[in-house]
Amino acid sequence: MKIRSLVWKEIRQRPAPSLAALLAVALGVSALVCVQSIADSSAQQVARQMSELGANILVLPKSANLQDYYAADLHGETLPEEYVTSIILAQAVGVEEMAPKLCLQTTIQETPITLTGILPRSEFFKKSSWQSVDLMFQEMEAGALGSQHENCTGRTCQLTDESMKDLKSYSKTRVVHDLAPYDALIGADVAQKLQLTEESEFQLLGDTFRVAAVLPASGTIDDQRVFAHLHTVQDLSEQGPVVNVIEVMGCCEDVTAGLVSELEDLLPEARVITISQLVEAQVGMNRLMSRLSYLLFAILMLVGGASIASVMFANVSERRRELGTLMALGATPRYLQRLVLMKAAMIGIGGGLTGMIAGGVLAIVVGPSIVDVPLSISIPAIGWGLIISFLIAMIFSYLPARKAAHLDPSVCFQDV
Amino acid sequence: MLELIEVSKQYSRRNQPVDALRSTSLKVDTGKFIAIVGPSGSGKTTLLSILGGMLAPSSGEVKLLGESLYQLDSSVRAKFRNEKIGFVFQNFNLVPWLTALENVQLPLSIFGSEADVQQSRAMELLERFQLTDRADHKPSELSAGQQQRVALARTLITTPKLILADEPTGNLDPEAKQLVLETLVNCREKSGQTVILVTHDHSIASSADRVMTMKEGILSETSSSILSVVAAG
Repeated sequence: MKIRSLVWKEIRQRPAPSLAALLAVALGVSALVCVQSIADSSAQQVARQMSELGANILVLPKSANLQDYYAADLHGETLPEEYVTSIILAQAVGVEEMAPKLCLQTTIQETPITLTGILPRSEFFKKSSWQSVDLMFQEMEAGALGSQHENCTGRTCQLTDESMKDLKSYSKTRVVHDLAPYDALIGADVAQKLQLTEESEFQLLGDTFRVAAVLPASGTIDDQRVFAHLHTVQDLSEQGPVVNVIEVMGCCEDVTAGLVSELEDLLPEARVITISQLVEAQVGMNRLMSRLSYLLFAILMLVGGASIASVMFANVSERRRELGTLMALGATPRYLQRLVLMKAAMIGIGGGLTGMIAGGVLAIVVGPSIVDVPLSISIPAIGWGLIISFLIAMIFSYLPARKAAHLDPSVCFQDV
Repeated sequence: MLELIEVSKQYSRRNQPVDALRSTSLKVDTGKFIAIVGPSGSGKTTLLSILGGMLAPSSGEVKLLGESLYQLDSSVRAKFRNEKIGFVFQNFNLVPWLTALENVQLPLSIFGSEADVQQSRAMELLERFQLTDRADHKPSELSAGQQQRVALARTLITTPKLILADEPTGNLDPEAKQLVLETLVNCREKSGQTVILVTHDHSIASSADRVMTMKEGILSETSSSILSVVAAG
């Protein structure tokens, strides 16, 4: 019979106090794993989106209140569509693409959706005012709307015409080449709920639309959108030639700063912000969540540690005669110390593992509803949680272990 | 075998010194059966604790098998106790969440003997005490007599040179009491083990080679014939 077997049998004999201490530790670790997993996944998602979206700039109404990038057009305020023309005519250095959007909250078969008007790239060519600029036209043929800047290492070369013709790539490129007036791109969630497939038709605000493509799931608000031609949506909304946002895609980060000030000068009535500014709020929130989780973890681990200390002190007092008997049978003070510390270690590690599982499950179940991204469990949080729960158990049971080691062994002769 | 030289033990109770054991000397030869009698609080248990290497005396020396017990390092003393000294308690002191077999194994497992050695030796002893069918029972599932037999088996598993018994028959019926006594007498007669027994029961004490009386911390020799008369009376 090994010492760990002796400890395990004792825990099984009286599980309630050990369970209480274990739960306190588990709470701390689960809070850390859950919040850190959510914060990490959110940060990873932001980083992924940033790398996919490149050097994007948003042109918004001055009063627009932003929550996140994907909901940037859901503020209800509008800008004149003419601003798109103004940007094109300015031939700003590094402007690669533009995507004006107008949103309309409506329903299809009683399912609420966001109808989003987008302007296909081919529409830029139809604007006579734009075509009058010969230089601009040549640039567009080459694949960019503005002037290219020297030594560009950005995404100009990545966006080929082929990728823009593939409608399904819209969720990544934010640009479509062609879109017929009553064609629609359907977000993954909407398609699933309404059982819409490519080429199927549906009624929207009295008109019949054809599904041109079902977009792959992105884990963003785009999954609940229906994208249609901007001018069709403008007609349906009866708001005239307006948009909620103009996304300007710069060729690389190098041009962003200059482009923002150029656009601010060009459109003084609008608010021009970069994606990085926008995500800063999200990153700040992640950082805050992360710090709060460490604070919560620290508090709960202290509570857990105090609980372990209390359980172990009570345990040593209750087991005085048993420990004295072990001494009479030849146990050294070190053996008794190990007996107490091993029990605490089992509680600490058990609490850590329980917290890891509970935190992981909680993150996977609750996480997506908080941050709207698919969750992955934070491995560093699990590692730290397990290490610290073990250390806390050891530190807080040191005094009870010392008490056990210094027991007067003659208690085994007495009625205690 | 065992020698106490001018051993005394003082406790402090409410800041007042209490003499639990006063300048006691004793010499016990190998294979002897010593009974110590005396009223409660006279210092019998203190003496037993000191003899067992569990309570350092305030002064004096305790020699066991040639070793000065309290000059040994505490870990060495613990190992010495494990190998050379066996205890039998009035309340059996079995570990409640271990089975009879595991309780008997305990002294061997403390110093990390091989598991199969522990188990086979423990089963042998349980068989000797007719407890084979109770090997998997917890102490709460055993009678007082069976518990004391398990405790005796636990004591004997290391074949100690010295057995210290503190009122081992105090909680037992006459039949179980007789079995315990026979076991201890056998230890002396067949294995040459030295037995020191603390008891209130004069009939038990009368079986000893020497009877000593403890009174107010002073140990003195008593004639066993007197005890026989007392026991018979």
